[in-house]
Amino acid sequence: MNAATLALESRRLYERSRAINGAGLALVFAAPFGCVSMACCAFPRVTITLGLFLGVVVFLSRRRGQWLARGLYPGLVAGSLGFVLPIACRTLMPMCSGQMCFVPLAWVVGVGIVCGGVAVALAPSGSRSPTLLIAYLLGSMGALAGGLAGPVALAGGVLVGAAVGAGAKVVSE
Amino acid sequence: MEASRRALVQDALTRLSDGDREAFTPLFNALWPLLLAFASRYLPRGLAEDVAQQSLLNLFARADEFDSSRDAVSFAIGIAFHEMRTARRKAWRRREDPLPEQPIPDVRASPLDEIERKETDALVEWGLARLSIEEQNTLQAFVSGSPESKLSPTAFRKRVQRAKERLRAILKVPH
Repeated sequence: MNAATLALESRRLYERSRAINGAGLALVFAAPFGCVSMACCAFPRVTITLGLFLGVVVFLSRRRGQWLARGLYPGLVAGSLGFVLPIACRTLMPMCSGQMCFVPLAWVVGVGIVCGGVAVALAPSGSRSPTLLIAYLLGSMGALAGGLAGPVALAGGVLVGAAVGAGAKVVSE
Repeated sequence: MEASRRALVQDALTRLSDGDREAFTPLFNALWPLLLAFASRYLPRGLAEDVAQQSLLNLFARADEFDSSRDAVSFAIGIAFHEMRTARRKAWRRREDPLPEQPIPDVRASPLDEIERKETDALVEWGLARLSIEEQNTLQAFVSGSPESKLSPTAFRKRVQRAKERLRAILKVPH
């Protein structure tokens, strides 16, 4: 193997290992959260769509690296809050009407504000957007406990939380 | 190895593990001669090139796992060292011509390690002296990589196994 071929092969192996690691991470994060969401919420198609979208974003972030990958773990931490809190609220305080049990949307918006604030606080510099996107996608699978409007309410909350967090950061600096 | 080159490898591998593809070429250009020279010191030329190539491929496949708080050159040498051992073991298993007598480098050598190594050698010699002549010959043939020709490979492996177990048992006895 001459040096040029060796360089090409090395590059191919490097890219392949990043892709494998990205796929593994996407599976590890999207699959368990997706399963819990499917079990708790009554919208399997929406859960699968959001889970796939989350998986793709995690895969691409991990594979690309740099600023995209740096937002991965903060996003997952902040997003797990958005995921757990609506489901916990639904489990502990059921608000039932007929056959459907929903979490009040105001609660989901509140969770979104916390989630957005935490994501901005944890995001490394230059990685705010991927952090917020991952936090939102993960949280939205739990926000389905608030019905189909849950992810929309969460999005509003996350935007408000992110704006408040960013403002607080600017003031503190 | 000069400090500037070591710093270049450290910086490039750190950037590459973070996903910066622009660090690939400088890292490749710095590591290829380094690994080839390292392998050539301890292996014959043809085998050294194969080992250096495989080390480089393994390094890039694992570049993602590199922890930037660690030393990049040690990381690269560690991979090459492992490849060298694997190549030697494969050569022995294939019953190829025994490799020239070249010691595998001890990358952590220090005066204390040297004393410890001498003490270990003395202890092993003491244990070998307590084995039967046949067992001693078997172990010598195993270490030199030239098994006794009258035996089948399986019989030789079993004999080596028995001799090693006996040596271990002798070394466990308090002395």
